[in-house]
Amino acid sequence: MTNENIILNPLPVRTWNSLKMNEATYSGTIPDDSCTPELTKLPDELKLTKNGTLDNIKSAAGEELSSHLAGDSILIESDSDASSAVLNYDFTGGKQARLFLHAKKNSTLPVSVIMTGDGTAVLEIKILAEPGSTVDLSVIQAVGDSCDVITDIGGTCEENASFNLTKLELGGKSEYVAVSVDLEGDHSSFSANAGYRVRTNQSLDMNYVVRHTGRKTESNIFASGILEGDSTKLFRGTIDLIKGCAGAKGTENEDILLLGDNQVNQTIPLILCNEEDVEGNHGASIGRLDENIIFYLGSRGISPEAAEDIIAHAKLDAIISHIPDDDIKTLAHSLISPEADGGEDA
Amino acid sequence: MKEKSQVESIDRNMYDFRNVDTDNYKLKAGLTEEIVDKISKEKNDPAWMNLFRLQSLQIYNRMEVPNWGPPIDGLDMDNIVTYVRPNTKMSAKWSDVPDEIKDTFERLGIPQAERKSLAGVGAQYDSELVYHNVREEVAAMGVVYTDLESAMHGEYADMIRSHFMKLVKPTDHKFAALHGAVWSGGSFVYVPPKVKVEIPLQSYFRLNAPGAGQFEHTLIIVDEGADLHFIEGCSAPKYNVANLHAGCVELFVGKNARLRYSTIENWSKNMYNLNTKRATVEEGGTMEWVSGSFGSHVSYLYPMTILKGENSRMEFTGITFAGKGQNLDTGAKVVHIGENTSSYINTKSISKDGGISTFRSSVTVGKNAHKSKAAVSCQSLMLDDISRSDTIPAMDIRTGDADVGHEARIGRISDDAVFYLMSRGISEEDARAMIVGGFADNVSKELPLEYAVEMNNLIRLEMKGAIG
Amino acid sequence: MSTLLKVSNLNVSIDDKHILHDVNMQINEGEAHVLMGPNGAGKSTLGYALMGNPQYTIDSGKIIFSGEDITSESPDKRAKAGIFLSFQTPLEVPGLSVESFLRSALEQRTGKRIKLFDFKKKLAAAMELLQLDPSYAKRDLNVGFSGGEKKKTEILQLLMFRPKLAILDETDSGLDVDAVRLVSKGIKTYLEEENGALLVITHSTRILDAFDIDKTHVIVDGHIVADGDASVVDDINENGYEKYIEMAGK
Repeated sequence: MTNENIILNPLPVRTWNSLKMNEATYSGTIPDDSCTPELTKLPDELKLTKNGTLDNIKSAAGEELSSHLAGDSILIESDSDASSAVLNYDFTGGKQARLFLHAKKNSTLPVSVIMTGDGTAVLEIKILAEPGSTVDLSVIQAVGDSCDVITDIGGTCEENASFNLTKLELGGKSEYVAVSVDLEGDHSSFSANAGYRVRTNQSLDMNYVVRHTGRKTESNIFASGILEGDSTKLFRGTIDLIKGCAGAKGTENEDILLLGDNQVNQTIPLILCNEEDVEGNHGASIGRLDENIIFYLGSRGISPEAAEDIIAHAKLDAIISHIPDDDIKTLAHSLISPEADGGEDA
Repeated sequence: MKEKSQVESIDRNMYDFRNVDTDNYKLKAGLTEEIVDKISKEKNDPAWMNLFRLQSLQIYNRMEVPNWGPPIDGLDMDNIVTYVRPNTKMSAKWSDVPDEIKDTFERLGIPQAERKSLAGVGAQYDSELVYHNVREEVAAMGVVYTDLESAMHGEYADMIRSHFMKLVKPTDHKFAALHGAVWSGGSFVYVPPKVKVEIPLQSYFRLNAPGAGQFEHTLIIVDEGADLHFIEGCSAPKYNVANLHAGCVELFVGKNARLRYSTIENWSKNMYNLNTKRATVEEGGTMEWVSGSFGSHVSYLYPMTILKGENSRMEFTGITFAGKGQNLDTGAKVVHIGENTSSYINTKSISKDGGISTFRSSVTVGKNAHKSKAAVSCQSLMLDDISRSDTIPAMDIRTGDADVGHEARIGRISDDAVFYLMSRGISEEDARAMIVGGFADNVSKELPLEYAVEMNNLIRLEMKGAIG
Repeated sequence: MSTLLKVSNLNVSIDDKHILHDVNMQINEGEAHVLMGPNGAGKSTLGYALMGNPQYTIDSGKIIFSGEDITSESPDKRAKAGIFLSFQTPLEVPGLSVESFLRSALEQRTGKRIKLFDFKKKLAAAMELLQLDPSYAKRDLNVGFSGGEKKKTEILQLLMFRPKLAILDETDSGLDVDAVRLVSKGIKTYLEEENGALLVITHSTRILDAFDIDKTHVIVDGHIVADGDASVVDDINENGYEKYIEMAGK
């Protein structure tokens, strides 16, 4: 159990210190206990190795975190067109976990990770996508509302490989998400669809970093979320177009719906570029629900509150639609609207 | 009595500080109280200003250089005194002015007399006369347009005292503190209520003051319902033997007043330009910035606007052109405090021949700035693959009913557009220059005609030889 | 009549894909030629290759214009020599006004400064002929223009530049009747006043009513399969391209 100030999620290029966006300081604990996942689904074609690891994959969470991560690990490898694996992590009592995903040449590796339980949750996922492979990773974070959560995802894509990430942030009190991707191989690609709902007195701190080194690489980060009253969110998104990545394209977009008031809503989208033949784009739209929509729905008998909820759900539904595994899709739907499915109230 | 207690607190600070660094001082020929006192005496400062300078010096010595932004290793921070008090031997000679600059004067068609003045080696040519005439004309309307140093002793002494470095405080950053300690020269403009100044005022006379164009201070107060356009600098390259510029601009825009502040900066390419500009806007007031950055070796420049009053607004239009050996870090900052305030930041940047251009911005919308609007649009053009272009925009929004938008794009000149123009008989070099000129038109459209023409010429010059 | 353009055994490819095969064509001064062919036959490719679009590679063959070998000249040199290409989709150039673009281009073509007064007069006349609102002179080139306005602006350039050979690529496509009439009027004015030569690339024939056709070329799959007089246009109007597609198959 470590209890000290840990620097997390550093911005790749610093800016004014007074903005307090250059990094996050985590002052909670990093649990030493390892979390063993329940393997809800593990198709035969995937090979699982206990305590297997992958080396040399970068992190966007910062160097300080990795020194605290030494617990048990799992390595999943694919060398064929595999069907979906599902891992359930229960972090009750405070735990850390490490997961390594290795897609070999021309294989597919679809994995869904569900994070639940009451306790500090620290999860590291490292991915290696070999030439021609595809990794589809869905991470649904639904831990207890009073817990600290740190998720550190890092991946490297080789030639023609693609890494698709769908991330849903639903629980936790203070959450830190770091995603680092190296598009090393020519024609490799990364896409991220991140959905979140930050409730009152919760905070979410994100650091997405994509480095384009291969030619004609493509990245697309889409973060869509809902901020309720008195919530805090910081989105750092960096597209780094490194010399030699001719023909690369990087896009990041943020779409934020504000419900209530007194949110702290911070965004810092970096585009770093030292290659001529590239495209880098960023766009953000932040605001409350359009009054015309409220009026239109109202004219059909829907109250403004219900209208807000409908639109908020629609935003998360759009993110969920990117999850490849149908069972997980259903699960995600039930998590964002328990009452609609007649499920248990959380 | 107040002043006395201030002195005491300063003394304590000094003491704390000296414990640590006294020896360093002597060894490193830092900036001392004696030097600052001497500057103060030469300037015939009032007592409060002398105190202010000493206070700023303490802050300067305490603060660290920024841990972000372009490197300033080339500045000899240990011998900062040489920038503040250049040896008399270092006074410029026409023969020392780099050929590159002389050449640019030539190509821009600047008259001989003016060239020497711009290079900081000649006596002021006829601008004194122009300035004098302009001053007479606006004085008739009640406008005060003078140099800051003499204004401190006149009718407006109290006004200056209550505004000087109240917006940009010496504690802001190390170079603001340096400015507070050693500032010299600059303009003071006061526009009384409801007065609309039709002609743009220009900072002609600054060129002549000792240390001018290095630590100059501009203080402009536009009172209720008044209107002013102020133009700083010009597009000709300015050469200075001491290559540190830490100027400061403070702008106060009153209720329903409007101020436009235009700058085409073209310092010589050895300059460290660490300038601080800030404006505060009262209810219903408008602040407009038009900013072109072409010169300097390193720039840190982010004009900031504080939208204090309800319904106040600001617009920032900028262009930065970073060529060989240049690292230009530019942008804008805005803080929305009042309700229903609006801001629009629109910038373009161009990187060429290994130049580095960084767009850096921050938009802060406070809790009470309900129904405020903020939009940021930045576009960057890469002209080759040895240059660099970074975009670092930050947004911090604290109210639910603000409307905030942001877009950033980075790209290159389209081959199709070049081919299209070439197919009409335009050479490749000119086609590219035309496209870049068009790219920069957000700024040229906002400038008075003669400045727009000069800026376009400048872009043409920068683009020459862009093709292999 | 002397030879203006002579294309011999021209082979052109893009991204290593061979598009034009051994194209031969001769256009004399003052002649109006039509290049017809089904979609994807290589019509626009020939236009681009004649204008020197760097995306198209000339693998072999020669382009002689006014007695000079221009096969490897840059587009601007070709334009100065007197070739004009009206683009099917004209590019938008933000920040560059129509007026200043035309004037700079004219100055570069002639190598002389153009007197503002003369230029404005000429521009106003040409714009009036095309019924283009004078305010368009100040607008950014093609930015926010409708399809018809873009095509008219192309013809405006034709009238201002007065080239020796105008290649009009699908200039009538997407235009309403009135716009076709005005564009045709512009082309006619150019032919009459300049004794200019014309190569009209089209797959329809509306615009061809405006002037007399000297020669028709039919292109299929990158091969010129037939050269004939104006009657070929009528034949295609009645019977379509079938016969010519068969010819290409052989």
